[in-house]
Amino acid sequence: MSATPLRRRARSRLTQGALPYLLLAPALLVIAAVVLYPMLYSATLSFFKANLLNMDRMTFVGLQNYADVLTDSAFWRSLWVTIQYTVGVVALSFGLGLGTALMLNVRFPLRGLARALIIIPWATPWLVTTLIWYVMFNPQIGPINAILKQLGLIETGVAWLYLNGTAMPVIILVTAWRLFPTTTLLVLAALQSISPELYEAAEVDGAGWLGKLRFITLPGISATSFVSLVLVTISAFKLFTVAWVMTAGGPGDVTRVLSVFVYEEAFRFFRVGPSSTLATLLFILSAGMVVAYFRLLQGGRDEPE
Amino acid sequence: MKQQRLVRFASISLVAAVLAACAGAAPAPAPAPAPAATTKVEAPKPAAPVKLRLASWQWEDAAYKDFWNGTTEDFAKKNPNVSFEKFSFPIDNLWDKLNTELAAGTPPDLIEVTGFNVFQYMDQGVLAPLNDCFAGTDIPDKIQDQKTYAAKDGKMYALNLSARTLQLYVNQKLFDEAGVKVPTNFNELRDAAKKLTVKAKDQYGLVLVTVAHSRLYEGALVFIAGYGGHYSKNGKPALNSPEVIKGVTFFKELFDAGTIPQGVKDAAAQYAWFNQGKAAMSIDGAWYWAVLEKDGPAVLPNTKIYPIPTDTQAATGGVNNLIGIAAKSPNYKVACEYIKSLTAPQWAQLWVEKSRTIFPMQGSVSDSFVKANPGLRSTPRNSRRPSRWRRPVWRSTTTTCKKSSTPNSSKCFTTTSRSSRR
Repeated sequence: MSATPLRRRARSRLTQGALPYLLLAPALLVIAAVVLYPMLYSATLSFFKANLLNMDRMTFVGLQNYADVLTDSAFWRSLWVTIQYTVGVVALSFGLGLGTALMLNVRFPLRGLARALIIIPWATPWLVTTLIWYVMFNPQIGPINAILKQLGLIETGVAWLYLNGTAMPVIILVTAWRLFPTTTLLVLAALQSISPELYEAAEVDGAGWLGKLRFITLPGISATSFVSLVLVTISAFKLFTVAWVMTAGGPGDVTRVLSVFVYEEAFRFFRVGPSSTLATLLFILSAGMVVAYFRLLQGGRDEPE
Repeated sequence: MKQQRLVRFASISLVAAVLAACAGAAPAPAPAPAPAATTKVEAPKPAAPVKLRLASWQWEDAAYKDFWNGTTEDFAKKNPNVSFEKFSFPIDNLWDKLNTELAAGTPPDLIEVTGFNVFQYMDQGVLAPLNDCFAGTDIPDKIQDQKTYAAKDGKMYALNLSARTLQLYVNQKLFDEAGVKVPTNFNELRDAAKKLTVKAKDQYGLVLVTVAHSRLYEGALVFIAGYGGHYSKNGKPALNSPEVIKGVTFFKELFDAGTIPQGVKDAAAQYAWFNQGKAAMSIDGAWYWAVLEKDGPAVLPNTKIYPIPTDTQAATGGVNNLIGIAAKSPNYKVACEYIKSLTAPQWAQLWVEKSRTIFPMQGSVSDSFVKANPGLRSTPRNSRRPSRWRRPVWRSTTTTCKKSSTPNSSKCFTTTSRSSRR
């Protein structure tokens, strides 16, 4: 017996409505298993006192871990280090990205090759990038010291990664080097979307290079630049690889960013509770940035034209 | 219609996938009925197969891999139902992997630990007591410090595998070229380090680890012990004691004077400076001789070993590597038999001969080994104050060990090291 046309239409509507969810379901299941569950588990652990080596002996302590962490000067010191690191990375990578994007927007021979080469840092895995720079800054065999010695700028190998004054600038440089192509690509795309007619009109009106940059180029790329800034900020804020591989948070706590602090608490001192608390706070701070980003973006869109 | 079919297909596939994922391993098929027995005599039941997971960073280490491969292969040969699975990672990565497995409740059965972390593992109940395992054997008596090191409330938690000692390695050629005498006390050490530092040649007087690392604290301890102190006293921290302050200050003085290179981050970096003839002195363990043979052949002929040049010449060191059984291992009995097998003289001698570190047991150093390694005999001859040395703990093991040179004292071995690790 065939179904009535009414039934058939209802079933069709139902299946049409369910299809997107069914197609999304496998991805959602994976995300739930490898992202959501660990996140919730970590958040749960932040209410317990537990040792990584013996998770059978967990004790519920309520908000004690949060109170301990928030009154611990090491946390605030680490947060300050993270802010320094993030600001440094954002400023340098955005400056480099904007500069290279403006250069690559100008016609010159082999521009296509230059545009392709600029992606290399971004396409290289974090660990590989970090290890390459780690060798480059090695006090004994690193080429940076060798060049500086040849130039007569230093007498003996400088331990860039192990001195209070140089460790942070070095990890900022490495992170910015890895991240700046993101800005380059985004800004370059925005630059190419600016109509050449605007520049022609400005020239007719007598605008110079600076005037065109100020009144056409920068407004034209501002929205994209903002997106790029937010992406780089979030990346830098939670980054672990560079600080851990290059300096392990040292010397002392000069480069102990929050992600390294989380790791040390869990895997060096086996304090799962405080570590999970720190991870949860790191998540809240990162999520806060994302929310702020969406709010700002939404605000920009809602503006009357 | 097509869309409806697609939805149906997607739904069925999804449900099937979820069910497949949620389902455990398929139950084993019921065994086929055994054939009727032809005789009334029952054959002895074969022992159930056991796979022992053994965690060690030394599986691929040239100095130790023969020991681990040899002992496991021999044990598996004698016990056909037993096989081994290597839990093998470089030491820097091993602990994270191991700790993660411990957190998950699925640790390897056998865990090699160091003097740096054995006490944490004991305190957290990671290791099972070995008293039952050693009952009826002479292991607690024949292994040096077995009853006191890695022991708590009368319970032993790991078998001591090696002893760690430090000594002064000297590049004699650099000393001779500079006309400097090998130092024997703090003042001479300071002077020699300064004279042998030639920045134009990128050459330093002394190399030690200068970055946050266990070797940094051990390096500082050398000087602290040289002033007669220790990080702890009577089981309590003594970081503000005059001896500790003097020792750390002396270390800093050498560093600030530029006689020690910056950024020496670990053992490998420390080796590299001396191996390449870029450091005139290094303070390292007995195993470093094997490293020099492999990586510093040009420097090796000019290398001499001396006592640590501090005012007291006190040695630091102690139990270094140990092996225990995970408290959650379901294979305690088999793992215990394997641990006991490690104390056979042949394996103890193999450990010493390959790694050049002392297996703390009588008979671990053979005559042939001492004869074949004149480098290790050089220290007593070069020692200025041999009479001040106390009997090395393993000296009583064999007569040939008296020729062995590692400067250590029984007091240092049994007390200093333990308090330094706790």
